[in-house]
Amino acid sequence: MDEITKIALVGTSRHPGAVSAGDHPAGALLSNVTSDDKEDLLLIRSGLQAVYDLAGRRPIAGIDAVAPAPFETNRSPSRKLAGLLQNAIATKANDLVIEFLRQMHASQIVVPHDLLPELLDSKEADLRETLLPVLGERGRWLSRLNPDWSWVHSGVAHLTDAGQQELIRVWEGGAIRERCQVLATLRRADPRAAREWVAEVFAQEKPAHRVSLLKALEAGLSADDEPFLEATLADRSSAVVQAAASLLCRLPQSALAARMRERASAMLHAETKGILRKKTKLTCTPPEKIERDWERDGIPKQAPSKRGHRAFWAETILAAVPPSHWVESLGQEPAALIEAVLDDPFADAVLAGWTEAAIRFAGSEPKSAAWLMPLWEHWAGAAGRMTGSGREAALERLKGLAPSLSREQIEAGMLTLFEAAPTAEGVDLLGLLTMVPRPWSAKFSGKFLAIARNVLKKDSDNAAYQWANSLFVVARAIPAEVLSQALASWDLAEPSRSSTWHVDAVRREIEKFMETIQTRQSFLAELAR
Amino acid sequence: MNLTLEQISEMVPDAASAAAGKKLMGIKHWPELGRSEAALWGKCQGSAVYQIKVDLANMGYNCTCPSRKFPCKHVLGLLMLTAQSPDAVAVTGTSPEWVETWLEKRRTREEKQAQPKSDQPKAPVDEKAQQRRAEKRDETVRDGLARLDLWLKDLVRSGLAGVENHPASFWDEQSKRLVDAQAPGLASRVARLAAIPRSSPDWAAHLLAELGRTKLLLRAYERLGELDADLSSEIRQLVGWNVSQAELEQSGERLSDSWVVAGQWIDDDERVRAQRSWVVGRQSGRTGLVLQFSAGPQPFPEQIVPGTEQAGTLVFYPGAARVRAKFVNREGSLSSVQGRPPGCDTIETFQAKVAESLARQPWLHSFGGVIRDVTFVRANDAWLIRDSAGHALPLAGANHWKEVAVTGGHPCDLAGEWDGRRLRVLGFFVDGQFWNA
Repeated sequence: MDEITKIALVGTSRHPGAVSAGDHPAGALLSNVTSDDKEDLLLIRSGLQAVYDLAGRRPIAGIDAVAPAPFETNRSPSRKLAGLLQNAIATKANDLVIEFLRQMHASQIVVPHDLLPELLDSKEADLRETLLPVLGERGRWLSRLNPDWSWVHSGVAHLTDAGQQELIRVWEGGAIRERCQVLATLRRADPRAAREWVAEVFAQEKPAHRVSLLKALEAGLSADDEPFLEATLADRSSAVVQAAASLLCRLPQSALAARMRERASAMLHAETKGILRKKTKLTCTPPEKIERDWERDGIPKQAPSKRGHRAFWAETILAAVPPSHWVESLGQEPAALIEAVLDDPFADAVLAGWTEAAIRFAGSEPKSAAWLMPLWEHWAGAAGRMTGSGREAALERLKGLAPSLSREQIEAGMLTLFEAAPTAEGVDLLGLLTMVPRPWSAKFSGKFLAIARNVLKKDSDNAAYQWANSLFVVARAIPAEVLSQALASWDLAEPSRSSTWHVDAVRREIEKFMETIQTRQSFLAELAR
Repeated sequence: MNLTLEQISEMVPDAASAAAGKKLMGIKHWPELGRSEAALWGKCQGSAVYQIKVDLANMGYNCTCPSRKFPCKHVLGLLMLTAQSPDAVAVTGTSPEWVETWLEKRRTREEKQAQPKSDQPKAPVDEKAQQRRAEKRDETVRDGLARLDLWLKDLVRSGLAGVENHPASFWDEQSKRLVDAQAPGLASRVARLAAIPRSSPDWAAHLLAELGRTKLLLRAYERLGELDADLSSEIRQLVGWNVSQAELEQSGERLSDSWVVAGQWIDDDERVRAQRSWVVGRQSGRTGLVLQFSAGPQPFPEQIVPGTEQAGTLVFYPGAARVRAKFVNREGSLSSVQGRPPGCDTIETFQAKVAESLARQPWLHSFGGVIRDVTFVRANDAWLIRDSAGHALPLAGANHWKEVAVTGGHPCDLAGEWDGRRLRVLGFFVDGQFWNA
């Protein structure tokens, strides 16, 4: 701090001596200014000094240049294409952005440079995934400059040293969610190291975090993890034990998986009936009470409220055993086994357990995946027969199954459902539409549009509005070849009684639907130019 | 000319209008659309059918909707639509009558304004009364300045330590007194002081520097008679005397050139919005600051769009600085900037220009211009620009990722405003295209 500022801070009244210019470079100039009044002198000198300093300010030296980005090897988008993408980003229409990025990837076009920062800031995994291949040279160059964008590089399977350092930094200092992401990344590259990281800190973490960390180990799960997980079964928190058990039962060779199979087999008995002894009947006899070692394997002693203990235990145990086990041990196909258990008092619990098990094991065992469609058909049938909470429960099961099905399977399954309840009653099925992987097939899209057109032509009530509302999803899901079909004019029901509000609302939804379709069409047209 | 989306985004009054404008980019909202050499027009279906016209010579616009936003979403929608898909708007030889009438009215009004004021019959001037009023005001101003002098001296007598704890009213009150004393220039100078305490670790030195410069201004005003005409005119303006239209016409410096609008920002205090546009002459290399004011959400009188170039005459306000300027004559129509903007090739040249301006007018507090061939750099969490000679200047603002993304670390030409401490990025040019910061 220079002399004059020091004097000004304490005040001239408390400064005994004269106001000197100190060693300011403009000292000679400043000492030419004289006055009897100390305050005048101080102010005038600081004014002169200020102008002198301002005029003489020097630029900063010694700042290293940044190596510029390499030139793009792929095409950059046209102004119109960039504008359409920018609009989709600005209106936060993420699913549209994802669709556009995919199309750009297919045409080998990179993201416009000015939109990179906003896209790189995205936290959504799907968007990040689709962004990676269209980042271009510029995007990859840019992401190295900002630590927030290190995900671009840290997600790769072969970690560089710098990548590893970055992972360690987040692992040691990040929030639990970030730490779990890091763990999942490392799991793909080096599963053992990731497990060791967890084991090292496990005891110090609070129970909720212990559960999260265990769940992150799901990526790259293997028999090597069994000792650590088995030891974790001794944890004081029941939530942690359940998380560990849930991983262990997915390792078919694990001791826990064997214990579960044994418990399940003790519960489920088959007897053959009929003259030719071809008809099988399954009976389920869950235990009256459970032993301490059951609890140690993550089976809760208490059922949730409104559930019978025995049914709950049956469901929990069956959910932990790959359903393929039953085909092998009972020698029957899934559909036959489902049929065989229907008359049993515990049928619902058994079917619920099988459904959970099919979902859990479908990814790792094709034989268990063979259960998905028969179970879907069972619950679809149940949904069709029942109303109220029974139907709701069945639809929940369908929702659970949907993500494990292939697109062809779920499309076929959905069509059966819609065709069974083609109008207003099908409203509660609309929630399942988001489960159909995108883009939809042309066949399914066409059939769905036909059903929707039919509903909206007949009705203009609340149910019709719900149908119109579902078009939001449809607009983003249907493939390019169905776009013009979707744009054909919509024949809407006339207002009946007091439902003009609904008519207007439906019209608005249709408008939005058409707008999205048109945006997609112009994007595709521009892309093709 | 065709504006780019970047340029249009500089025109939007607020984010809501921008979003609303974007929604109108679809061609289906426009039952009628067209453009000629002179104008761009469309009809837009809203609550009623609105007629939107844009004068392509100077980007003036009009819409028949009742919105209080300027430009309204319909104008923005039409401009954005044209920017994004120029092919969608067919060029026709003739324009509809409602467009023609509007254009004619505009041309008539512009011609009227361009005529020298002296042609108009004037009321006889009571010269005695005028002089009396001037003397009266001079007296009020001198009283006000004497009180400001006492206040400044009090401040340094009791010491600046502790000033940072004063409430905003401490500065406000002094500023209001200067308004009462008819010295609005000094009033806003004092009001600006309020932002300095605690604004940086060396705020005390910064505050003292500004107090000192204010003191110099008071000293200069006392000696007005001894100074040359330019400097005394400058000092009167700094204190708050306005330059009348007649004075501007009589003693302003006229310079005809092709003027590049290099960058712009809007200084928004609660009552008045001040639009600051920095323009650079392509032949003369001269830098000018065009100020426009508007109360609240009202539009600025003229459309000045960054990244455009306009041949014409600027008149510079009389005084020592000759920075503030105003368009008095436009030749031909507005176009997008033609090639690279003129400017300083290094940071050192820019700073030499700053020093030169300060030598002429030591109270300047912002220096605009173009620095060419710079790159954006981030070092130790601070943002800088770096020139071809390896020199750097610190930037204002915490996020310059868009600039880095667009330039890719390659040199660009930057439009900025330097306040002696940090450079405010107003925009930058890459391959002759303007980008806002």
